[in-house]
Amino acid sequence: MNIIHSLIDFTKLCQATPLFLLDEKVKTEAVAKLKIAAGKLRELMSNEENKGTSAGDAVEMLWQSVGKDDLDEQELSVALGQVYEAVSGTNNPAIANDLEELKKYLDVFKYRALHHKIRSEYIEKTCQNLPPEKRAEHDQKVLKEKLIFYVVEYSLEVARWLRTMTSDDQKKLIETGMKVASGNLPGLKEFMKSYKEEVAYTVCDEAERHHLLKIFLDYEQTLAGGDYVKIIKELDVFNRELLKVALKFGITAFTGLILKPYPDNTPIERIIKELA
Amino acid sequence: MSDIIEGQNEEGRRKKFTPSPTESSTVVKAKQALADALGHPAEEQFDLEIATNKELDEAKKEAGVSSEKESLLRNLRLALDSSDMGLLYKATERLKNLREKGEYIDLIPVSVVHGGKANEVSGLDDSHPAYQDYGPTAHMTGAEKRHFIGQHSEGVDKTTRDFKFKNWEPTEEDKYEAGVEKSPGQALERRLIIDAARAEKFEEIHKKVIDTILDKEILNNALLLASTREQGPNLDFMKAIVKRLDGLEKSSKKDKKKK
Repeated sequence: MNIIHSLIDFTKLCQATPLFLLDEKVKTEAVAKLKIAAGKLRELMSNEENKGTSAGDAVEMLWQSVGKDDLDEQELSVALGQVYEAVSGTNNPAIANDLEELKKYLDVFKYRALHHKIRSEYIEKTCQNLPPEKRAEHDQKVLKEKLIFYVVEYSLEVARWLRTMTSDDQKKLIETGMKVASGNLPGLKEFMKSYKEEVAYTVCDEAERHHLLKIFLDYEQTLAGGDYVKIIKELDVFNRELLKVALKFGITAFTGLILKPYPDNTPIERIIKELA
Repeated sequence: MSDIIEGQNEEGRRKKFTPSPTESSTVVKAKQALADALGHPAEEQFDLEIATNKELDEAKKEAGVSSEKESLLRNLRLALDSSDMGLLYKATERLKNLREKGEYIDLIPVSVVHGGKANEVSGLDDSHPAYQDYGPTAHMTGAEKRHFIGQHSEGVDKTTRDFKFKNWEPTEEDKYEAGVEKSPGQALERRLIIDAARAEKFEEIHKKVIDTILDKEILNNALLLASTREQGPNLDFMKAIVKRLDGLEKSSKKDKKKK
């Protein structure tokens, strides 16, 4: 394994999932590997002539970023980007394909990390001046308006239709959406990203915000896997987990606004049991 | 100039390296050096086999909090034996934190003997405490020491593992200046092994030195040093030390059985 492969592995791992949401063991190993690679890179670039050049600075920035106790994934993505930029114009056939692969993952990682940082900072700024009781009020309101009416209402309805459809229709509903008796249901894949934005980044409670993000990311990965049987099965898990969050914030009954997968005021606990 | 190499098919086209006229040759060379470095092996013969047994899980918990030298050593060896990168990372980070806070012993002895080849590899300045020495090379610069050893050394004494110099024998004072070391030979071992642990480049000479060392304490200290090297753990060196320690422990068991 060459140094560039270590950079690719790390970037690939972080492209979809924030570092703090990775399994502790996976994260520890990924960081350790990157650290070793950055150290080796620094060692190989330790020649005095390289210091102060864009290439030398990029390596130093990567080394500094990966060495921090409190890792900043956005800073790491920028540092990896600087390393890529420094060599992108060079002629080195031995690593040309690897560089292309690195760029593919890096583009996604950089965007995702920056986006996550901006959205997280924005909600933290919004919430920082609110007293604790107002924060709880804010979170309950957001979850009622966005999680229940905007997300779960749709996803419960989709799950209900998927159970009775032919496999062709199931694929269609997942991929592009379709018109059913209760209305025009958009495709599951299409809507997943906006769901995440609408809900996960609007809650003041940091732990729950991260939990919600994890629920969405886990299901996004299931969707990306393309296994329709699993996608349908895991949709129930996704719905159940979201409803559990709603319960935590004191939302005990479900009432759909447009779609009615369950009758108005159905206890959420009952829906969770049904989905289990 | 076109940035596409002519004559290649679509898939095989690569951007040709056309440095901007404002880029100095140093910048261009540095970029090329970085490209070459990226293709270099990541110094990771370490296979990432994920160990999940209870012992490793417990070691990881312990590695994050323990400040006992024995425990740190045990965890480092366990990490190397099991190829568990996570444990290695936790143990080395803990050790580094302890050393930064000054809560841990300073592993670099103030007084060690004989200058020479070691600092060619380590790149340390001659004024570093590790190079405070005695003997015929005591007041020489690094280059002078290397020249002197090259000219006058008759090799290494097999018994003391010390350099043997023509027309020179250490006086009692020289030996005393070697400080905590039991013998100049042992001090030399420590010196070389510290250099190797800290070295940016791993040289064959140090591998050979490891296999001559009998003192487990020196090997243990070198293992700790090698794991906290600034550039990241020196895995090759650590593995060589663990191999030597394992060898010594096996011999010691055999000796006990014979008795």
